[in-house]
Amino acid sequence: MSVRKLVRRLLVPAALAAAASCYPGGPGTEGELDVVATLHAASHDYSVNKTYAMPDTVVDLAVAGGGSSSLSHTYDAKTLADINASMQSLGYTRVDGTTTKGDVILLVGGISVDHTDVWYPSYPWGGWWGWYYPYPCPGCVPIYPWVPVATQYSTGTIVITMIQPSAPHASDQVPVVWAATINGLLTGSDASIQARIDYLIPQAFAQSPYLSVK
Amino acid sequence: MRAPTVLVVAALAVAGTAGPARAQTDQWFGISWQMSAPIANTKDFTPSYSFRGLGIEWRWVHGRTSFGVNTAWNVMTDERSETASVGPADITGKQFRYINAAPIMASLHLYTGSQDGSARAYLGVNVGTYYIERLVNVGTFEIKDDNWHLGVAPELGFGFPLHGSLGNTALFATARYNYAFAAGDAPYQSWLGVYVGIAYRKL
Repeated sequence: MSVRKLVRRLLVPAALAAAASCYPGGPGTEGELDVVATLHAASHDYSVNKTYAMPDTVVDLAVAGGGSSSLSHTYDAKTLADINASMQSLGYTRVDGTTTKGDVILLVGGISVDHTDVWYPSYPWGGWWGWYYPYPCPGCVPIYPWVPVATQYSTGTIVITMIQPSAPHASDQVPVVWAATINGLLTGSDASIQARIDYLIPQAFAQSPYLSVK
Repeated sequence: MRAPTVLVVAALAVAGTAGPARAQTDQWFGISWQMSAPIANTKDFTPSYSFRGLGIEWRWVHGRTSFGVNTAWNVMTDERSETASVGPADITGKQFRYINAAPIMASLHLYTGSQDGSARAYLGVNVGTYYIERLVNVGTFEIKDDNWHLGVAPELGFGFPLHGSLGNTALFATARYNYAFAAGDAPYQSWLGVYVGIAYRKL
C-alpha cells in the first residue's frame, strides 16, 4: 500500500478522532456546578415583615422523611450564620422564636444524595472506516478499549423555607412565602466548601431583592 | 450503498451525453474543517464563533455542474453565569450550552471555468435535513431538546486543483448559509459556515 493510499485511509478516522477530542468540556471545578434557585409568592407583600425567627438547627430532610442520610453537619453553624447575616443586611431583626412571635419563620434543612454513573469513554466511530470508497475495508473491525468507567459523587442541597404563620391558612397548612434551594457537589477542601457557602447563601438573598425591608 | 450511487451516476452520465459536446465527469470526495458564526436564534443560544466542526462530502462533477451529498458535525458552545427567571422562580448557576448540528444534505453546484486544472469558483445549494441538539447543563442538571429540521443552505466557494503528483487533489474553501426551519419546540436555527478542506478525485 502506498503512502498516499494509507494517508487517504487514515484521513477520515483521524479527522473524526480529532473532532471528538476537541469537543468542549464542561465544568472544571466544583463551584461551577453550584445552583441557587429561589421561589417567591408573587402576591405577597414582603415589606410588612420586620422580624424573623429561626431555629438553630439544620434539619436532615432525609431522616425527617423516615429515611437514612449521610448528611454532614460540619457546616451547620456557618450556614445558619450566613443566613442570619443575609437577613439582617436586608433589614430584618431576629427574635427568639420561643418567646416572641416573628413576622416570618425561617426553616433550614439539608439533604445529601449519592450518585453512581457508568459510562463508556469511546464512541465507536470506527464504523466509518469502511465507507471510504474506493478503498472499502469490509474485514476491518475497530478495536477500542470498551472499558466502562464508573464515577461516584455526592450532591448536597440546602433548603431555606420562609413561612408566615400569621397569614390566613388551613389548619394543616402553613403559607410558604419564599424558598431557596442551594445545590452543589459535596467535594473540595474545607476552605473551598466554606467559600462556596459564603457565596451561595448570600446569592439566594441577593437574587431576591423583594425581600428587603429597609 | 453502491447500487443507488451507481444508478444515479449512470442516469446523470446518460443525461450528460445527450448534448453535442461531451464534458468530462469526475467524482470527488472531500473532507473539511468547518467553522460556524451563529446568527439570530442560534446566536442567542450560543453567541460565539465556533472553530469546531468537521464535514465530509461527495460530488459527481460533470462539466460546469455537479450533484452531491454531504454531512457534517458542527458544534457551537457557550458558557455563562447568570440568573434566569422563569415565572416566580429565579435560578443562578453557570450554564454550559452546546449545539450539536448534523446536516445531511443533497447538493447541486454550478462552476465557472472548465475541468482543465485551473481554479474554479462555484455556487451551490444544499437541501436536506438538520439534526440539531440543544443542550444546557446547569449544576448537575441537564436540559436538552433535539429535533430533525428541514433545511436549505446556499453556498459560494472556490476550488484550487493541485498539480504534479497531487494532480487528483484539490483544496477548497466555502462560505455556506445554513438555515434550519423551526421544528418541535425549537425555533429556526441559522449560522454562517466557513469551510476549508481537501478533496480527492476518484481515478
